[in-house]
Amino acid sequence: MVPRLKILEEENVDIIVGLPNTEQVRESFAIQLFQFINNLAIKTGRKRFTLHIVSIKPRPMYIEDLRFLLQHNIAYTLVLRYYRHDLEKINELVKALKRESSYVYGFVFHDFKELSDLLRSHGVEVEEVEQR
Amino acid sequence: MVYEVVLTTDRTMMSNHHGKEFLGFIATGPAIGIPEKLWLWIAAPKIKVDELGRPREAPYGLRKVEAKLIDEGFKAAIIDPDHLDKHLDTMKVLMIGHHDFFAYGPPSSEWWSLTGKEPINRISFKRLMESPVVRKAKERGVKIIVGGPAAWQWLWELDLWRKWGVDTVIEGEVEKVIADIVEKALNDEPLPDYIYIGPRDSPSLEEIPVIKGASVNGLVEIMRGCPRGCKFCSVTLRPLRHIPLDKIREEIRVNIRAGINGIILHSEDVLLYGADGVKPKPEPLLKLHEMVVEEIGERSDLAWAHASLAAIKYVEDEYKLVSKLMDEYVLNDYRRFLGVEVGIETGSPRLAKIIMPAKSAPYPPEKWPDVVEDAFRIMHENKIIPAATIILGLPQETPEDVMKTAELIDRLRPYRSIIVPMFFVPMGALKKNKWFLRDHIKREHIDVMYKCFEHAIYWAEDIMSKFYLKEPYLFPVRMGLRLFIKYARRKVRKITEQLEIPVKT
Repeated sequence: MVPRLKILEEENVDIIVGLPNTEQVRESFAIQLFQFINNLAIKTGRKRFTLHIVSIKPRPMYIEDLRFLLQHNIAYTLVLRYYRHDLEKINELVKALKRESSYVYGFVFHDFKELSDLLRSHGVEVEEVEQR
Repeated sequence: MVYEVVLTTDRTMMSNHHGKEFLGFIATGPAIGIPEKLWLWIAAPKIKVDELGRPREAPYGLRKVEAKLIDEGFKAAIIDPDHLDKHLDTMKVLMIGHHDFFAYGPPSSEWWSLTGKEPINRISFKRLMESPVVRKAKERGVKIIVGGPAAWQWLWELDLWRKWGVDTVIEGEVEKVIADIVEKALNDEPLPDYIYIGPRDSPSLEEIPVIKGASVNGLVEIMRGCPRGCKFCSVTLRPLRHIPLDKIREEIRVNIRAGINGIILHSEDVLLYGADGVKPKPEPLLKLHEMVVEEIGERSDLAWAHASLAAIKYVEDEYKLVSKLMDEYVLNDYRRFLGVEVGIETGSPRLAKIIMPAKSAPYPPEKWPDVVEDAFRIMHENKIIPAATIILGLPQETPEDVMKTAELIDRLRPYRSIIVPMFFVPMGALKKNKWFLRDHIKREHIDVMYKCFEHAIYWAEDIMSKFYLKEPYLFPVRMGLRLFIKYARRKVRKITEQLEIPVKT
């Protein structure tokens, strides 16, 4: 079972987010993620997004990479859940999400091939993003 | 009584500021010229508590969350920060709210930038988080959930978030969802790190509970949201809701029963209560004030949290409503003024058009300076004392815009008021450099800030002696403030000179 909040994570879109494998903060990543969320909101009609974060940075330091998104979002409900860099755990999560959720997407930085491959192996549509 | 869920905040918030809301603003600055303890006592004296450490008055936001949790059957209570140890053995969730956790909000960030010293509210909050009782709670596995209007500030303090072991940061209106989050925390289920509650998940009127205990200085919410859409304000994103009179009455009664000697009607624009759009309607306002005065009697204080200058002008010009409300309901031998916060923000119609195109509505932005002056005149004539804000350093601001603001402040000199300059704070700059103002400030900004200071000094004595701090028991506070004003006159000149050095270079 995927942990879920009532209301805020019901009728939502789940996005597995693979953050850049680097200490350096890339604002462009958050900007592109924001655009991705906007597009999904139009496509799915949903306004609630759960971001399942995969990052080498510890909790909550990874938020630095997402600050632009969190500061600029006003329209959507956002829930951030952290999964470290644990692909086994992600594998279990994706299986559960595919069972329980209608909308599961991947948004992965281009150098995080392992994660993109894993998500695709479960039939998840993945957006790979380059550094701008 | 055993409390599993404890709500709290630091001393600068858990105080009634001697019953004078405006004194609370002093806590947004660093101790200047006097010892920190005395500064803190003037701004935020300790509040009365019962044997369990439950405060007689508590911040309204915490009261709403407490009420929701109690209604949902949780063993929850607001506890004064000095009495948290009484609940250490039973506490499983510690919820902390604040409107300026790290002093990044206005006017804290201006004080900080101008003086180079950490404001008291930041020091006090850090002291709370590093106190032995909070550390011990964390060691015992207590979940820490933080939220409130300043929740965004945690995004800029990740090291402290990590160091203090904060489990979840929540931004937005929580009434609809907080019970579920707390239940999951109590059941030790995984919590999200961060939650932003979007406008669509804001609570409906029915989902907003009535507070169970008194709020600081009897603050009672009459509306949520704002239709004006100013670019610098987040409230405007929320759906507009008018709290029904019965609910307002209930909350006033909660406060009166607790012995609170006054009510502050809270809204982003009190005069829009019951309005359609931005044009106020007399009937709901008359009914509201009639009910409030009926409940509080003739001796209790009454204040408006915020009102828009356009609405003040509109209701007076169209219906003589400001005069009517003041003469028939507010003013008497005991209530000799009404305090309110208002936003001028700029004296430039050009900038007003860009950043707050609907703030002057139903008047056009081109008329903004006239709207401001008319509203100030109406307030002065009706013994309404505004604490007004202006914002400097906004994106797209030109020197001409700032000069127009300076001219407007000159025009406002005859009207009893305090005008507080705020600086638009680019977060990156603030984090990088505590003296950031020295890098961003311009000659004309200094002129405006100095004009605001002179305006405040000009009216301060009149306000303190005739209206605001006239009660005998406030004599020490009055004396303390007089001393501070004397000191500030000297200090401001020195700070201005310091600021001018980098401006010149």
